[in-house]
Amino acid sequence: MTDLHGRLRTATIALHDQLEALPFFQALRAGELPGLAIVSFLRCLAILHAVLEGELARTADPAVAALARHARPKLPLLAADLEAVGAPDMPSVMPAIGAALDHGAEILAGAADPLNLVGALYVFEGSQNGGFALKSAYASCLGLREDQLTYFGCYGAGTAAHWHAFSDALNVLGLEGEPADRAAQAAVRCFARLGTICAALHPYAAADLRHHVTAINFWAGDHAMPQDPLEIGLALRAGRTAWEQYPYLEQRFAERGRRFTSSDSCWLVALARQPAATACGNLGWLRTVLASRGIPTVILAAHLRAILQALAVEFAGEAGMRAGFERFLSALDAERQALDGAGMVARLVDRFDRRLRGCAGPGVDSAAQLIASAWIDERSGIAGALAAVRGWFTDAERFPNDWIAAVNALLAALDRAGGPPC
Amino acid sequence: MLIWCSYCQHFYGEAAPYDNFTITHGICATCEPTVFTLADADIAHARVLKAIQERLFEAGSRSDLGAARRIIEASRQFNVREVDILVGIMAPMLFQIGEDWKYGPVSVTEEHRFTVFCEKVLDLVGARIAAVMPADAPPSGPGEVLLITAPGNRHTLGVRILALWLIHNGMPAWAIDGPLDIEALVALVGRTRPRLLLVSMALAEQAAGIAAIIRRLSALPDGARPRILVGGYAVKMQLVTAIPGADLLTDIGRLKQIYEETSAA
Repeated sequence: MTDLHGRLRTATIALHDQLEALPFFQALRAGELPGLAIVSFLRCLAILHAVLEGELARTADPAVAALARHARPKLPLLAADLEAVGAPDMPSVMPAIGAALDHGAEILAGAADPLNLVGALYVFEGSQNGGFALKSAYASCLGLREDQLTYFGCYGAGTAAHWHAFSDALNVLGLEGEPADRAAQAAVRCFARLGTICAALHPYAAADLRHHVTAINFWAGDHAMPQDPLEIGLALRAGRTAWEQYPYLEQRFAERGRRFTSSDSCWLVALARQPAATACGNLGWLRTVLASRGIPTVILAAHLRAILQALAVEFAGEAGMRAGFERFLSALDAERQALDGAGMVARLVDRFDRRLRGCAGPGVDSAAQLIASAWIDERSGIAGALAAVRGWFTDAERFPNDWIAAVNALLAALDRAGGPPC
Repeated sequence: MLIWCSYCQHFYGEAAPYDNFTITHGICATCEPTVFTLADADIAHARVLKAIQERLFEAGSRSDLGAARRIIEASRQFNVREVDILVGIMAPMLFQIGEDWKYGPVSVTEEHRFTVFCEKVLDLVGARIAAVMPADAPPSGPGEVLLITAPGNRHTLGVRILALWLIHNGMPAWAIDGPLDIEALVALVGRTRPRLLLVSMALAEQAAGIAAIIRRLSALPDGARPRILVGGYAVKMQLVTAIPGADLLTDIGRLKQIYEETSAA
């Protein structure tokens, strides 16, 4: 055993003191920290935990993976707390969100060295000690009961025992010399970034407040987002419509998929404000991104129609917002017509939809339509679109043999109907 | 496609389709009077460039900076300059990694790591480039071409690489490595009077920020207003088709011509 814990503590103690002296923590202790600053803090933490926990789950280093198992996943806690606060309507303190995104990018870029992850994990686990002491202050500033917050002090009465166990696990890594220095440098970077974030959070200026997509989806990074609450509401409703229309999304992509559907919907509504040609070009780009990840274009088209329908009602006087989407959907229709003028694909979808419904075990609604859409995407030049759904729909661990046979038969029939690929 | 001069073997521009980074050969304007046909050696050189590109890409996927150093050193024997590696090979690799993310095989993590690798290669090569910089090119300080990223575009690597290439091609250039607010930009332009302002945009949504820059710069007096060019991923992929008050630039080879036009004007 080595004293990695002691080394990390020594490296960060001065920064720890500086952090606690910031106006953010002074106001928190005095019960005067604005709720909006705390909500943005939770969003920043969600951005950072999303990256860190994702990379720790993927690390190939067994010792670091074992260390990570000592830490309770915090992302679900942060998501629950943001839900409890009712945060979606609140803007974010942008300089803090920017700093969190920057540090998230640093963690991502440095994840090839697992010791970078160790340093950041030490900081976040250590912060639970302070979080436990400050939990009532956070709750009070937010106007909530303590038991409504789950992230701060998440180990509860076991906080001290957990910290001792985690410290021992750090020492078991047996790091000394240069490797220990690398972990310490990562911890220092993480502490410094948290300092930047907290300094930006309080006091903040009115000009610092904007709606940012990470409030909807902490995995979304940094992209355009409507600033009008009416447009945000419209985007979230349209996203939910698409999500509910295709249960496949939930079956395959779960919570992460739900969040991306919502954040993509915000991006789409922001895109509606662009000139029609620009919107149309960007929809083509998104189509490729989605189809390559197992989300056939039929889902995007349904999502766009849901937005169009809402725009026609709620922004009836702004036909320009619909022009790019309508042009894109017309182009999709023309593409389908060129590939399947005789309607053979539609007939195959009907036939195989019935066959798939008759298969044993739980299936997937609209499976034939999704597979046919991926087939069209592939034929339209999106390489890998079909493979991105075929593997999932023919996974023997997920589906029974008769289902898999039906999917393969559908694919063969589509190939026969469509002739050889260009 | 990327065009390398088959005579002097330097990178000199791009040809449609601009999202295809395979290497082709042509003859640059400087060499054209003396060379008329392509020889077998040109084909061999194309293979060398392709091999450099592939090996650097592989080194990047492993974040192996040592391998990158060796590849770059070895490429000198084929008369491939460091600056041409940056613009004709590294920049397209950055584009390619973005495309690989778009089509799914590369994760966000791998993309970030690759970008960090390219930054390290730029630092590595930058010092060597400075050592062989043409005598008439200013090593630092304001230039006649000012390069910035669009508000919201955090990727400065491309403009830093392009600035080096411009300097090497006799166009004093200066890249701003980081975000610059609009008033600071206006002050900088007023003070340094660049002929061209080149803005790199990654996403169509950054057009609004560029439009704000254009509006603000249009208030400057005649002679202080630079010609504004917009390039980058969003332009190359035709995610934007027009930005009033700016020219869209898909081919960096056109820069020389535009630079000379503004000079003549």
